[in-house]
Amino acid sequence: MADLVHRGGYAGLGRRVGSGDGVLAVERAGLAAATVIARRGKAEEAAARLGGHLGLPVADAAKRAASPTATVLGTGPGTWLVFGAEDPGFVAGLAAALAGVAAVIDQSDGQAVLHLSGTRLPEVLEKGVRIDLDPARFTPGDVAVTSIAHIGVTLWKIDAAPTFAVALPRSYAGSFQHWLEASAGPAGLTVVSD
Amino acid sequence: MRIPCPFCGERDSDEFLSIGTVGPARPDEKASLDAFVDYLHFRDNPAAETREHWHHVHGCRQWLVVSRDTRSHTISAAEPARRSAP
Repeated sequence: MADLVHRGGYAGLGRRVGSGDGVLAVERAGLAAATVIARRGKAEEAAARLGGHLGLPVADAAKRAASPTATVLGTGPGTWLVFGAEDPGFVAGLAAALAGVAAVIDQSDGQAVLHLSGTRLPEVLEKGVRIDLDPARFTPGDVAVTSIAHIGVTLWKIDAAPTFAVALPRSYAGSFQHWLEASAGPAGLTVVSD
Repeated sequence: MRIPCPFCGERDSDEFLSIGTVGPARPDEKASLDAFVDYLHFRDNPAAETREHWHHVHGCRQWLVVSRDTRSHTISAAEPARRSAP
C-alpha cells in the first residue's frame, strides 16, 4: 500500500503580493486535529480530563490553552478544537482519555491553519472580521468562531504583536487566500507554506 | 441587529438563523387535523416583546432563546435553549 503524505491546504499557494512586507501568513502544516464534544452534562468533566491529558488549563469558554505540543480552543459550550503534533497516536490518545465523557472526531485531514502577523495585520483583518478585535477587547488567549468572506473560521490571538491564527476547512484554503490577497494587497502580503 | 450570544459575546445577526417564536407545544398525537394545521402553519405576529429561537450557525452552533421587541428590535435577553442536564 502506498504511504500517504500529509499535504497542507495552502501547499503550492505561497506567493508575494505587492511589497510583500505588510502581512506575513505562515501555514502550520502537518498538525493533528480533532473536535472534542462533551456528552450532555459532562462539559466540566471533559474539560478537566482534556486538560489533565494534555497538561493544560482547559476551560469551557472561548479561550485558548496552549503548550509547545498542543493547542486547545474553546469553540462552543462543551466543545473544543484541539491541535497537536502530527502523530497517529495523538487523536487516539485524546479519545482514550475522554472515553465516556466526550466524542472525539479526527479532523487532521480537514483543517488548514495559518499564523498571521505583520505591522499592517489589524487593518487587513478589519476588512473581513465583523467582531471587535481592538487590543483592549480581544486579547491573547481569546478565541472566536465567526466568518470571514462567508467562510466559517476559528480565529484566535496568540500574542499582542499581534499574531493571530486562523483555522478553516482545508477545502476553503484557496478561497480564503483569495480574500487575504485582495484585502492585504495594498499593505503587501507574503504567504509561506512549508 | 446584534445578538448577545452567551458563549461568543455580541455578534451580528447575520451569524444567526432565525427559526421563529418559541412554542406553541406540539399537540397530542390524537389531536384533530385542525389542531396540527394550526400548530404547523399559524403563528401570531404580535407588536410586543417575543421569545424566539435563534441558532448561532456561524458561531458556537448553540440554540438560543432570544427576547426581542418586534417594534424596536431591542433585545433584552439571549439564553441557551438547551435543557439543563437530567
